[in-house]
Amino acid sequence: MQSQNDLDLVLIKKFVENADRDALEELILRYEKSVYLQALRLSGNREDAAEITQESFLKLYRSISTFRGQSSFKTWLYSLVTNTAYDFLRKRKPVESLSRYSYTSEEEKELDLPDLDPIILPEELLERSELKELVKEAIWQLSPQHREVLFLFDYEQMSYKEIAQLLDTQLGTVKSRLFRARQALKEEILKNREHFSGYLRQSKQGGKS
Amino acid sequence: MNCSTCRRIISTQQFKNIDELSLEVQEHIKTCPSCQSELELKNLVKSGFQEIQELAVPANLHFSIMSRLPQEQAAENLKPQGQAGFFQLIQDFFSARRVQGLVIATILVFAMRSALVQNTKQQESLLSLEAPESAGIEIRTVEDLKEGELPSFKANDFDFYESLEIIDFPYKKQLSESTSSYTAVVSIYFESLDAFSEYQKVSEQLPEITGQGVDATRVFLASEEEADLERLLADLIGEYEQKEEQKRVRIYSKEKIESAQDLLGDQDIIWLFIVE
Repeated sequence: MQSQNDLDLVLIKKFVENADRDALEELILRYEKSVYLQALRLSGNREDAAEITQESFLKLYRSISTFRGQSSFKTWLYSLVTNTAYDFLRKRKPVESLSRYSYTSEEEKELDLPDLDPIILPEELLERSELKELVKEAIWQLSPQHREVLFLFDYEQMSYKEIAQLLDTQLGTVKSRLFRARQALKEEILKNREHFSGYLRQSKQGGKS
Repeated sequence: MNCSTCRRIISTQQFKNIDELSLEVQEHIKTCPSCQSELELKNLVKSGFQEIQELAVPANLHFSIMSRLPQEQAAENLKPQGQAGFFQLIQDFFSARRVQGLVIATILVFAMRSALVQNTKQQESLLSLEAPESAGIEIRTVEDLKEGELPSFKANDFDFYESLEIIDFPYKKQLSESTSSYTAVVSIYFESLDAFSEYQKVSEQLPEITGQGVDATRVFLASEEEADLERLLADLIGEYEQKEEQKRVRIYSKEKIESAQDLLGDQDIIWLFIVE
């Protein structure tokens, strides 16, 4: 049975050598959903995600002939989408927020796990339904890098090493980025919780008046 | 086992189930609310991403990707006799009309008996189906279909259709007296490209707004029952041949159409999307 990557390679070959658009279309169909979701995680909104997805496949169209098969196609495409997304976001965002979308900010360069005190969420947050909403919201408030590293580690269950290879970065960077992502997530949860409580208080007061 | 070590294990190790961790860690977690919180957080992050992964892609995603690709081969594919693919037609349409105000997309729905498909002559009569001039519709494809062949639509194509719920049938054509095959031509008119874009945006929100009563027509789409499908097919196969007037129907997902095969017996259902 052909592996996923073997089939990808067959389709790529058909397109590159014979200009077979059907093969290209099939390749696109195989990956468009995952590309879109990756773009969505990186951009945080649907409109940009759709735009990034289109741009990514346009880039693929133009550069697929340079794909040498040193990594799997999936990995190659992942990098292409990542780069496309960051380029797109840099262009779109005001200058002051560039660092948020920068690939290697200063904090990421530390290789050792930072000795920060981990944030401990209050116990009452164990109330699952509330926490669930807060976590979902916080995920979207993270920087794209933090969101992605959490996704790769906690959802995709990839190892540090695999993530480092995929993101073409150092193992230590992955570790520290993941640590900081968790910190940032907890901070966002706590912040959201305050807003949430504030909103509830306001609603109650509003209801009385 | 102290909390700090336990939390670090929870946050830095890959495990699917808590029993994959050492007994010492498991015991600690049982008695420690903050470590339970850490574990809970990890699980919730995972389920949060799970929800993201389950988000629907925009209905027109595939189409928009294909329409952005260069069109080197498009001119050839546009020839009536050419092997024009479904998306080439769509792409050509939109790339040609990107600057124009009026967008007309036409969907052709064919419900044909297998026998018809096998009959070349009759098939030709289908191919030469003429659209009214006023509609400005030119049918360019169908040649691609070989005997008994269904267009090679993929699931995503139908995602697009599924979002289009109000369709007008400007005309119909019965192929010949001797067959009971019918052709329904479905047009979706948008007043402007902006209107079309707006519609696409709304369509993207479809999974979110359905069930909340925000948009009754779309809620109806989401809660469609098989009985409604039967009605649609009755429209297509029965009433349709007798009525010239415009008619509203709903477009169904591929799954529903496939499940309708039972209702149609030996008939094939062919869906085509043709644009002008």
